[in-house]
Amino acid sequence: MKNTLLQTRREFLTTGIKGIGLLTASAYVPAFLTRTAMAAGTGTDSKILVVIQLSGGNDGLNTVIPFADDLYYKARPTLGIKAGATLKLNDYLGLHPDLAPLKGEFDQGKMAIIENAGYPNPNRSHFQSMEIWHTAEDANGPREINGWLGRYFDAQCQGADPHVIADKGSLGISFGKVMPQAFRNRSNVGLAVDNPDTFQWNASGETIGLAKAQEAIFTKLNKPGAISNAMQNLSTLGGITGNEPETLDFLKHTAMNAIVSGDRMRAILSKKKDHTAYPSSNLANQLEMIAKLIAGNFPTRVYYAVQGGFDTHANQAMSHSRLLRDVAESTRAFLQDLRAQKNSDRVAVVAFSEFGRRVAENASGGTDHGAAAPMFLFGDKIKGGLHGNPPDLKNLVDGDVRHQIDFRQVYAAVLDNWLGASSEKVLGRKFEKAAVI
Amino acid sequence: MPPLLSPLPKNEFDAYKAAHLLWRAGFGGTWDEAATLAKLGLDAAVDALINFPKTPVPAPEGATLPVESEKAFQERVKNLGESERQKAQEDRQARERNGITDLKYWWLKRMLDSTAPSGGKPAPLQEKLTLFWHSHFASSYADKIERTYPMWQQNEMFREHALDSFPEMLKQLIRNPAMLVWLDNAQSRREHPNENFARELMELFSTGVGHYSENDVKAAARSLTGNSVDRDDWSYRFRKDAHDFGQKTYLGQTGNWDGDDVVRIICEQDATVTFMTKKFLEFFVYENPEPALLEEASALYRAQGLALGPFLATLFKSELFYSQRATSAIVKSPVVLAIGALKSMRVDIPQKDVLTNALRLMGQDVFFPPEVNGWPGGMAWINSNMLLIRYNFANYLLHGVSPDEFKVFNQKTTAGTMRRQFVQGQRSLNETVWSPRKQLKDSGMNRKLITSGDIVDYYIKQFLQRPVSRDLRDQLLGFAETDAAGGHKSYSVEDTNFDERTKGLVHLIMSSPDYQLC
Repeated sequence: MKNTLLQTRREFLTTGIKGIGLLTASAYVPAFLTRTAMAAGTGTDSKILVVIQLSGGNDGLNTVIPFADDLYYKARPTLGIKAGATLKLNDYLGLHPDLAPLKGEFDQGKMAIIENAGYPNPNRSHFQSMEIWHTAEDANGPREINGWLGRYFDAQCQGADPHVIADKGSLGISFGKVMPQAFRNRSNVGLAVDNPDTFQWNASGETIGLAKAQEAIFTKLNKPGAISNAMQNLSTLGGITGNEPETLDFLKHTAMNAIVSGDRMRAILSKKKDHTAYPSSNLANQLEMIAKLIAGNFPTRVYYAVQGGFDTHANQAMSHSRLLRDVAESTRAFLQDLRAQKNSDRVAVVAFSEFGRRVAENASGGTDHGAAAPMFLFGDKIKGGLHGNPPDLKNLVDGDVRHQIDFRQVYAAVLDNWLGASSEKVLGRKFEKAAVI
Repeated sequence: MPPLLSPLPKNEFDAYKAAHLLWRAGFGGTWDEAATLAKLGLDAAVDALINFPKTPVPAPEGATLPVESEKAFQERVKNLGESERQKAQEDRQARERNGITDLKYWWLKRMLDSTAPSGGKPAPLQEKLTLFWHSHFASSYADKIERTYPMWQQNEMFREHALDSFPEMLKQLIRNPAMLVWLDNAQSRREHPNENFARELMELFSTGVGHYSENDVKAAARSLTGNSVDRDDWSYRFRKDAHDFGQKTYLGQTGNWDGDDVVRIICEQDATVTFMTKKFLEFFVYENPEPALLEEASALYRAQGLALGPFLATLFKSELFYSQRATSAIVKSPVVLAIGALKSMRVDIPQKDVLTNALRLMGQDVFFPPEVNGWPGGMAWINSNMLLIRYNFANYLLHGVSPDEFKVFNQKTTAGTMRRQFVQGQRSLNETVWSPRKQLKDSGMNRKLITSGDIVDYYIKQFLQRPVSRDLRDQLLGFAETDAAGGHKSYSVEDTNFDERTKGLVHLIMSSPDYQLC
């Protein structure tokens, strides 16, 4: 019998998700696929979450500007955005002028601004603070290494949620070279995709007619449990034993996950031309791919996009304008795309940064690491508008904006009210849900 | 209980162990190099790696180009029209971009040429440590620096001080122009000290988090004011007028501290010793070292006065370093993966742009670390995306097909086009890539490789350089003996398609999880 991965992959593509039961017949389908396939849903009617990470610490005060507060202009003699230039949200706050493409979203109640989001004992290190946002753990004390979305995936895999997804690989997809810690989980699910084109293994034996044979053996080398890598004759040292099997197993799971999901993803991405015009930027590319996958009924429920560059310690004005313009144009195009494909009711977008920036500008025309800052939510079914009070610049903590809402209250609302999960279970404790979704 | 770092019995040092040493202290090598090192014996082999000659390294072209100062540039363009000035600026950018690509290639070539004993060639450990420091004290060309010269200058600093004591390294660092610009210290002034460098100096470079307060960050930032750069020629400059000469209390010590005092105080912290020891263990031995090992190694590093040479000598001679726990325990970084593969193939870098491009796709673009904490390394090299790119990178090395060529998304291209590109790529690179048969004939090895199994075992030794399970060998042998009709044939150097078949076999070896580890 010549049962190659190639055949399996074709089978997979032609039968599609609804015919997934057929896959159990193939000896070469990874076990994890068949297991979850039993409880497969179509995915076309379930809610989708898109996370946009603004890396580096977005300057919240120059994003949602408290133009009525003199203290703002005192702290920002050169960087302060003049009241007249802001896009007024009310008689106190205005958006940065480069966020113009999003103003309409706000006016129609499809953009929520959650002011002063943060957490107690703010940490000003990028990595520490990012870790806190990704794991949803406290700033002090022991920290779970798995991410808040990863723990949601784990809960899904246990069948705790009725909306079960077709396979584990596509539960969450992050665009970028590295997997965000937010996705980290026990079940080894989730994909990091940089370029869908390279998301396949290309056999090289075709010129001598050996592509199929090569692919079959490639599959065996990379399939968990297919061959034994165990070695007997290596020395061990008192008390310290090897861990190679776990590492190899991890590599194999990662490879199989990628190959099967990559084929399906490419099938969707290459299918049809999109009509919505996206700006030309890295973030826009990521969001466009996400929109295509959603249009193609890809069963993924959580997508993750990253936009870096917000660590504006020096000469901030120009670069921050450019970054905000990119975020605004890309997000607006994405939302319009979703509307055109009639999926806007089932997609919510949440945007966050690991911290805001210090209230006072520095001597380099920039701002240093700060604390609380606004979070953003977008979508046709969210509770738009301004949530919370403007930042209180009279009552700072070490020169930074004090948090008024815990970001985990937003996570809790998203998990419970949007993804239909149990936030208490995923986050490990009960947070009062923010009334944003 | 005996110390964990007690030495390996000398008679146990064989070619497999020497190969392991070459992967960790360098970038792998040929099986012959491993065998030669094994013949030297453990002590001489480790000595050959560590006591490399301290001869100055000639600078690459491009990076040595005199840097046109900002002032001179402005002078030159001041009478030009708007569009000509624009063009001059673009030309300068393009020149720098080419410069940094040349610099990448120059460095990668040094890694590829490195061998121990070096005999005038680059030293593997010196280049490996340069890579270590480049990730540990990460500065990127992108965004703030955008000049090749300071990146070369920093690279050379890491190389020259590769095995120096940690205090000496930090003293160099707080005067390094690329670093001072990258982390904004160059423009830090006493009126408004910029905390970026001061914070990372502790958090990422020495003590790790949790060993200092926010006030210590502020004190360090004040102490480091004035450590600046002359942007005209990218030399270090101490700006007296920017320095805060006042009294600071830093990590419990009070005085009129400057940058060197910060370095001294940092190096007195136990946290620094432990933090750096852990970094070395994770880079050279294995991830998540046990507390007992970390404690013993930290004590050793402290006893050596934070000097790296003798510390690494003890590690490389230890039984633990060659134990099952440490063998195949580290995920090869993309640079090690690529250079190691080229070394095993015994070929030169095929096309510099494609190699540097492939490294970028695999997540390790040298001179462009992604963040100020460098490359996370270890298991973080592996995710669904990176693993496939690694596997396809092998295809590029063997057949000249760049992973970047697979444009499906957003284009009309189909599998048919990919196939054409594949064949074209192969044709255009056929002359420069690997020819296994020629190599075997030139070395006379073809007469020793009689059976199919001999040839498969030979390539396992060249590429994996460790004993493999029977299952794995059987699979590889199965491929080598398959004919196009799916039947069975023997595998021989005399086969007309021997080169293609061998490349297919090596592609499988490189597309195995096993090959990702060293």
